[in-house]
Amino acid sequence: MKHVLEYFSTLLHLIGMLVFVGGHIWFGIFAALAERDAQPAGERFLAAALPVLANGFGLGVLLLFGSGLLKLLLWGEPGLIFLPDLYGWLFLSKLVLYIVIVGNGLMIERRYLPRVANLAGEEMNVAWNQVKIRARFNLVLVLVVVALGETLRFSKL
Amino acid sequence: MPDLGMIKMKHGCFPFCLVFAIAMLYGMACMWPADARAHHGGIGIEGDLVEWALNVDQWQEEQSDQGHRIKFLAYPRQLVQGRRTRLVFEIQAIATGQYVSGLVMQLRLRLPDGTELTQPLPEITGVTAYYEAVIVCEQVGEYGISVASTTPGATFQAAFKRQVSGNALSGDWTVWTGNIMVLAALTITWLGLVLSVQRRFLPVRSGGPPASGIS
Repeated sequence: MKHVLEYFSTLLHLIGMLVFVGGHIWFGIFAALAERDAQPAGERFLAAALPVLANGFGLGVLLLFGSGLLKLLLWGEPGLIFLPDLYGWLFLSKLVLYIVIVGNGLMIERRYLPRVANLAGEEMNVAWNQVKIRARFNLVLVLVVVALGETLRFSKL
Repeated sequence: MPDLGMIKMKHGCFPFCLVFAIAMLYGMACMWPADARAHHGGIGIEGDLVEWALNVDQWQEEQSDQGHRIKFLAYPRQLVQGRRTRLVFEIQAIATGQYVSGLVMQLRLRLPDGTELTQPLPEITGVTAYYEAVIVCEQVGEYGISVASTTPGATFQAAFKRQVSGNALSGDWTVWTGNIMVLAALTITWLGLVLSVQRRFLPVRSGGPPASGIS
């Protein structure tokens, strides 16, 4: 049963990574390409893509955290992150970056997306720029977390 | 409204080729065979899920002395007051790489209050070069764990330290740090979930353009 749960949590972690990391990559590509096009198309992009992406990011975060916590519970106590081993330091780095990523995502969701949706003109442009900058910052952090996750696989416990 | 628009293929397929290439490299890296480093006890097949399932519940530490490698394993990983803990020592000759059996071994425990306890460390029947003792730690604090071989021609010793905590959720700084970090991650996830759900049910502002479902 433990192995089934462990497999399940790993599967959910991978799906969460696909949704979250893949979503960030596609958001970056969509945003960069869409900015080259005309205004009406931009409006359609905002209306169609942003809600889906925002929901996807939220779902990805929940899958990543839920599956990660499930794995920790399967291994032992949730606070057992294997410090002071190298594995533990990598794990700690992942957790710190995760907190920064989610905090940044909260700022996007609560502060800037409503402005993009409800404002117009220069104010909207400023908010949209913040969304892009913060989303790209999150993408960089997420890629670092993925790299740390891969490093975990090869680090000696 | 900024200059945004839908994706069109007029920009060419370069970005997609780039993403595909990165995905291919990533996949190849994932498929790279993991280094086989399982010790002779065959406890786990490392590099797969089973490895993590079986190795995470033990503490591992190594020392070398007088041409011998002493591998110390503790089950469970974290020593908790009043709970049974298995202490296993695996002995290997550095020069030949062979595992050394038939040694006369002793285990010495130095308790946090300074008391010293000595007991024989017998070899496990059926497992070559595994010397094991089961202890119950009654005191909270740092335990000194020493092993020594008094076998003629194969004398060596090694000392390790392990922290014993009052319960599984407290302990030394490593446990505290882990608990705080996991709690912080849980808090921000919960906060994000609540705020995100709350925003999805907020009424649309009157007077402004429709939110278009953007969240």
